[in-house]
This record gives sequence, structure tokens and C-alpha cells, in this order.
Amino acid sequence: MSGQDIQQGSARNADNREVLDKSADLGNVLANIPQNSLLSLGGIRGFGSPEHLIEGLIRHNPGPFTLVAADVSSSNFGAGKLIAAGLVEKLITSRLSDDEQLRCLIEERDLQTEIISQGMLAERIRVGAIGSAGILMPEHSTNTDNQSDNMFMVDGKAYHIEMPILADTALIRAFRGDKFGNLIFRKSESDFNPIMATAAQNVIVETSELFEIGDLNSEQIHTSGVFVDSIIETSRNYQ
Amino acid sequence: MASRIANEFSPGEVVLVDEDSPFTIWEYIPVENAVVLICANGIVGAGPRPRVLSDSHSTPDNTRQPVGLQDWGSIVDPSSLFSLLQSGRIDTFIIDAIQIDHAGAIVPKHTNTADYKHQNLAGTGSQKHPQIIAIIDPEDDRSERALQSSCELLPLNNIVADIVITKHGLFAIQNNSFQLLDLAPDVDWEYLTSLTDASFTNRLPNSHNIDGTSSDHPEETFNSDLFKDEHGKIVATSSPSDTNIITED
Repeated sequence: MSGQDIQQGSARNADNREVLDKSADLGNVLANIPQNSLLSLGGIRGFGSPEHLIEGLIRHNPGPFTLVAADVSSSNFGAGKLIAAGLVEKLITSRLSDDEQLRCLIEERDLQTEIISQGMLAERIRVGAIGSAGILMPEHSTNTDNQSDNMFMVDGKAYHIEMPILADTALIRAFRGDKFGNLIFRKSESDFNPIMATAAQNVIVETSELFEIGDLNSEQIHTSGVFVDSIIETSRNYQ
Repeated sequence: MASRIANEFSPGEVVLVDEDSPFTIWEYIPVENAVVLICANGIVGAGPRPRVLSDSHSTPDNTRQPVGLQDWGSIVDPSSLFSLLQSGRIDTFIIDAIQIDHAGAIVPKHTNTADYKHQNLAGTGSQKHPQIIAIIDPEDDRSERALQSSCELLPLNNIVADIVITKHGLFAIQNNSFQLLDLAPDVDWEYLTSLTDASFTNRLPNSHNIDGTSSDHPEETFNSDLFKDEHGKIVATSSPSDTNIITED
């Protein structure tokens, strides 16, 4: 089925769709992110990360934030850049840096750090998106007598609960987007960006190809614009 | 009445429509309002029925009827739709009902899938609950029969209607009673009350009073401010903070 087939019934009215327009100014949007809030950052190992938003955040907002990111690879990009700039007070991640300088920085600043597996990080974000209280995971400890508050017995087996992650703000990188916020991801942008875009109260997106509302092919949209609050056109640098 | 409520949606409002609602609601929504209609099967940006159909058309609603897709629309998977609901991004949820009582308890039309599905669709786990609009078959000339003092069938557990639309009337649920806000043309009070044993409170504006006269009773005088928020949109109670309360029992 072509896009034309499904759009025959639609009535395009270019004069009134500005109510759907979420294109925004980078500085205003980033300056308004509340301090001490929970921030999630898409991409992995610097690939597919919203580098323009990261740089803008450093310029426009002193933080600090609790940061959720797949990894902390380098002080030159991604989550590491925010840490190096002193904007991160607490870190939730699945991988710390090989960058010795950044590791030292994390230790020197006594950064609160929670390290979990990459899959668990993704799942905790996913259940955060659906309002779940958490995920029950098998408890590998053999001592089931010593049950904590977050341990449960199901069919005679012990489980502990992994808490959900629902960010206050998500910083997202997309390959293409329209002004309604419909997003198309490419390559490593598919790492954590789509799932984080569904699990935040405020979703801010950067894209280097921002289209008018209705100019993207409906069949190719990965994330609906309903999830997105602000979308910002940036240059192609950092790709 | 479907036309009446369609005009209440604010520009850009995100509205989830239940399975049979599309042709009674979205055919009437002014395109210029750019309301974001989401069909329960994941169509985001649903629009009027296509005028010309392709043999290969495969964008139906859940009743297997073709649905138009706005050029900014998309289709999301069930998991993403669930996330949309639970993250509080749905402003209004329209449910097809076959019975509603004066407290707003809803017996949904699709009883075979009822409780679990509708609770999911209503986003009951989210911090922000959508406004619930219940529609009783607007094509049925006697749809007011479905208004009950107490539902005969099993209602949904955790979802109550804020607004009810029948063939002839638009009601808000307030203080455990149906508040009649609007009446279709050429319908009078006697006819409406003859269709149901449920009692109503008359909130019609004087100028539209049923018999064309002013009401003798102050409480029967329509006070639109009671039912509209700061944007002029109908809400169920006088206090915005009291709207969309979902009771546990």
C-alpha cells in the first residue's frame, strides 16, 4: 500500500496545522529544564547521541541533573561530556568509560553511580513508559529467609523488583523529523533514542532534517509525534 | 450529538477513540482544529473516511472500516500505544457504552474484551487521567434507554464517565446525577424522560429551555461556567482539580 492510498481521505489544511507545530528554539527549551531533575540521553558510545542538545545544555543550563545514559565513553561526547562539564550529580548507566581521565573525574567528584546491565537499563526505561511499578527478576541469592522489602515470592521462587526509570526530560537524536515531532531514526540512533522518547514527561529532539508537517512518509515513521514536546533543527555536524 | 461533541475538542487535543466511535465523531471534527485522533488499533492522526478506496487498502479501524490517515499521521505498535496512554499524553478517551449509571459507571459495548482492555486504554496507571467521554449509539433513536439509575450489566471497575453523549442529549456526570447540558433540536423533555427511568438535572440554558420558557427553579438554570474550564471546554465538575477522578470501588 502506498502512502497515497492511505492519505486519500485526509484533508490537508496548511493554514491551521500550526497548532501541531513543536519546532522550538534550542536555548529556550534547554534553559527551562529544571535543575536536579532526571535526564535521559539517547544513543550509545557517542553514536546517535544528541550532541547539539548536549552542547546547548552545557551552554544554557548549569544543572545539576541525574543522568540516565547507556554509557559514558569519553569526555568529548555523549554523557561523558555532560559529566566533564560538571552538570551531572548522579549517574545511571550500563557502562563506564575506558577514558582514564573521565574515570578519575567521576571518582574525584564522588559521583553517585548506579551501574546496571544494558538490557536491564532498557527494560527499566520501558516499564517506566507504561507506568509499571517495576520488573520482577529472579533473585539468585539462595537465602530466601532474609527477604527485603523489594523481594517477592512467586510460585515458591524469590524475585526482587527492578525499579522503573521515567525521566523528567529526554534528549533525543533523530535522523529525520517533522514539526509535529514524528521521528525517523537511522543506524545507531535506534539505540535507546526510540525507547527513551516514550519514557519522559518532556521529550526534546534534535534532527538535522526537519520537515514540514505532513512531508514525511507515514509508513516510515518510527516514533509518533504525540510523544514529542519540542523538536529542534541542527546542523549535520557530529553525525 | 456526535457533531456537537466533535466541536468541543481543542485544537491539537489528543483524543483516543474506541472501536465503533470513528464514524460518529471524526467525520464531524473540523479539519482546521487539527485534533490528533488515535484509533484503538494504533492509527495516530486518523481522519475522515477515504473518498476513494484502493483494493489494497489496509488501514481499517477495528470494525474493518477504512479510515483516512492525516498526512502527518502514523501507525504505532500496541506497546507504543500503551506507552502513550500510560505516560499521560492522551487528553480524552471516547468509550462506546451500552449502559451508564448516574455515577458514571460504564458498561462498555465490547463486553467480551471489556474490563482489562478499557482500563489499559484509559491509562489508569498514568499520573494524568484522560477525560472520559461515553457515547451511546447515536444512531439509535432510543439510546437514552441506556441511561440507568443502576447498571443491570457489570460496569468497568475503575473508569467512570465525565461526559455522556446519546442520540438526543449531552450530559455531564456530577454529584451522582446526569446533568443535561444540551439537547438535540426537535426533542422535548417529555420524550427524553419517557425513554429512561434515570433522572436528570436540567442544566440547559434558558434560551434553549425545553418548553421555551424560563425555569422557575434556580438550580435548573444553566450555568455554563460550572461545566467549562478556562479554555471553554466542557468538564464534568466545577473544579478542574475534581475532574477525571477514578474511584476504586
